[in-house]
Amino acid sequence: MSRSRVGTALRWVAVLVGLVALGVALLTAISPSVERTIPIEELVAAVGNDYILVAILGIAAIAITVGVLLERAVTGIDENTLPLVERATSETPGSDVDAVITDSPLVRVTDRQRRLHTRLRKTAVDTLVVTRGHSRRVGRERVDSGRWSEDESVGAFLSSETLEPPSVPRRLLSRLSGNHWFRQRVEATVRELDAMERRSDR
Amino acid sequence: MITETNRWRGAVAFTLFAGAIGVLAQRPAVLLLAIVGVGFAAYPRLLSPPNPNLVVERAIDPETPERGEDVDVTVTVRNESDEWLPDLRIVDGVPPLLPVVDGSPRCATALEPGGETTVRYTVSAERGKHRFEPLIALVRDASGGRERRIETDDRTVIDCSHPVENTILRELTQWRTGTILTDDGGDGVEFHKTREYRPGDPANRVDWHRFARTRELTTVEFRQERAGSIVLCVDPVSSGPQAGTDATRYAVACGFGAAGRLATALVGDDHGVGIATLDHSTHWCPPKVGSTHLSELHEMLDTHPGLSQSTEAAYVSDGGTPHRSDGVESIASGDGFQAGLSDSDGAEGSVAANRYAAELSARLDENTQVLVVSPLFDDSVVRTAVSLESAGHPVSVVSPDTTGRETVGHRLATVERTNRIRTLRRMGIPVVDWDVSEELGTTIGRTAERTGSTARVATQVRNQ
Repeated sequence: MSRSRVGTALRWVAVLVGLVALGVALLTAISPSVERTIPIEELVAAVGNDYILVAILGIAAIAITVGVLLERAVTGIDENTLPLVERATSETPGSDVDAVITDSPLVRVTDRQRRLHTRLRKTAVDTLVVTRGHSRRVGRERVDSGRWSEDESVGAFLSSETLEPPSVPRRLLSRLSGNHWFRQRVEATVRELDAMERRSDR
Repeated sequence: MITETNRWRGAVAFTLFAGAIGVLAQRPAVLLLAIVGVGFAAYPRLLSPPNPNLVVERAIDPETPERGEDVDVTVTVRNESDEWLPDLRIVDGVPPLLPVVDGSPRCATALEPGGETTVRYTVSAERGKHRFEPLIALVRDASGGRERRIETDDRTVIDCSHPVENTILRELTQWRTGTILTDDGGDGVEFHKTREYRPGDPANRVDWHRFARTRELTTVEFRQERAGSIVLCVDPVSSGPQAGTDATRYAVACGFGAAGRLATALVGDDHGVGIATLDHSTHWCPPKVGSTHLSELHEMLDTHPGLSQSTEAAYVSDGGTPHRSDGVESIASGDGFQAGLSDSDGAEGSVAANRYAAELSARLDENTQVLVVSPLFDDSVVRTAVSLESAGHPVSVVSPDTTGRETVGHRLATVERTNRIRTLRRMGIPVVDWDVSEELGTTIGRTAERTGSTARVATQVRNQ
C-alpha cells in the first residue's frame, strides 16, 4: 500500500474514532442512564482534579498537533507552486556528451558510455567519408582496424564495436590520478575528429 | 480543476477528539478547545471554491526588437467574474530563452469583481522567434483550502529576426513572371543571347545596331525571370537524440524566425510559398501567393507546437526517442544515415525519413522546390533532403548554427553537424551555414557567391 493511501486510511480511522466518541458524548448529555455507565467522576477522582485532566487532554491535543505538523513537514501541503521563469534556460548542443563524461562512475561501465562509444564510431566513419572521400565500407574498415587515426590509443578505442574498458585496476588508477580513462579517450577521439575536419577545411 | 490543498488537514479529527472529551468530562475548558477546532475545521468549508474568469492582455514593446534590445512586457489580468478573488498568484510565461532584466513577471494580489492588476517587466531579446508560454494563475479561496490552477492560451510572439534581403533558390521555376533568373531566353533584363530574327518578334527586341552594320536581322533574348514555387520545410527538432532538450531551444527559435523572414521575402517577390514541418505532414500549407497567404504562413509558424520552448509541452520522452504528447506519430524519427549514406543501424530511421519525404513529395507539384530550415541536429533531416532531391524536387538548406567549441561535447556536436553539411553538399544540395551571430541575409549572399559557379544555384536579390 502506498504511503499516501496509508495516510488517508489513518485519517479516516481518526475521523471515525472522533465521530464515535462524539456520539457517545452526546448520548451521555441526553441520557442519564448512558452517563451512569461511564465512570467520569471516578476518572476525575483517580486523576486528582479537573485541572490535571485538562492538562492531560491539553498534552494530547498538543501531541496531535505536533504530529500533524511533522507529517506536513514530511509530505507538505498540496499547494501548486509557480515555476521559475526569470532566468534564461538554454544549453549548447553536445552538453549531453559532457554529462556522460562528467558522471562516469568509478569502475562500472554504463549504457550511456556504450552509446557514446557507438556514436563516436559512427562519427568517425562519417568524418572519413566526408573529409577523405572514402566510401562508407572503406571508412568502416579503417575504423575497425584502428588505422583511421595516427594516435594508436584513439584508433584502438573505436576499433571494437562494443566498448572495451581497461582492466579494473587500471580504471581505478586512472580515476585516482584524476584523469578518468573514459574521459581521456573521448577527449582524444574528439580532438582527432576535430583536427580531421579542420585539416580538410584548409 | 479545483484541488484540495490539505492546509487544514487534521483539524476535524482534533475537533472531534477534544469535543468528545470535553463533553464526556463535562469540562467547559476542554470544550472550549473543541470550539476553536470547529472554527478551523468549518472555515474552509464555508467558502465556495474559486471560480474565476480571468482575461489576460499582454503588450510588448517593441514587437520586433534587435538582438540584445530590451523589450518591455506589460501583462494585465482582469477579473471578469462577479466574485472576489482573495488570493491570486500569477506568473507570466516568459519565453525561456529571454532573461528578465528588470521588473518581475509575477505578483500576488486580491481582485474584486471587475478589478485588474498589471505586471510589468523587461526581457532582453535574443535571436529568433520566441513565443510566450501560458500565463499561470493560482487562485485560492480565503482559507487557502482549495485552489484552482489556470493557464491562459496566449500566442504572443517576440520576433527578433532580421529581415532577409537575399534568398537562395534553385533554378526550377514555374511559367509565371517573377524574379528568378533562368537559362531560358525571352523577356527579361539580363542579356542572354542573340538569335536569327523570326517573323512576329517585337521590333524593340531587334538588334538594330547589328542590322546597321551587317544588314542582318537578329533578335536579342534576355534571361527570363520567372516565379518559383517553394515549400519551406521547417525542422522543430522533434526527433533524434537532441529532441526535447534545452540544447535545441535556441536553434529552433532561430529556425522558425528565419523561416518567417524567408517566407516574407519570397512572397514579396511573388513566389508561391508553402510551409511543411519536419515532424508531421499535417503541418502543411500549400504554396500560394499574396499577403493574405503570408499571414496564414506566419500564423502557422507562430502557433506550431514545436515553437513551444517548454519542449516537454509539445513533445514528451519515454526514455527513448521523444514523441509528440498528443499521440501524433512523428514521421521523421530515428538516427543514422540511410543506405548509401549510412550505417545499417540507421535503417529504421531511414525508412521513416523516406516515408516522410514520399508523403511530402506527393503533395508537391513537379515545379516545386524545397527550402529546408534546420539546425541539422539529426541525420533524418539529411535523409529527407536527399530523398526529396532524388524525387526531383530541388532542395536547398538553411541551417542555423548554435553549436559551440567550449567543451568536448560541444566540439563533437560541431563535428557531427559539419559532417551533415558536407554530406548534403556532396549530394549537390546547397547549404547556407548560418552563424546566428550575423545576419542571415549576409550569410546567404556569401553562400550564393561561393556556390554561384556551380550553376545549380540561382540566387535572386530583392529590390535590385
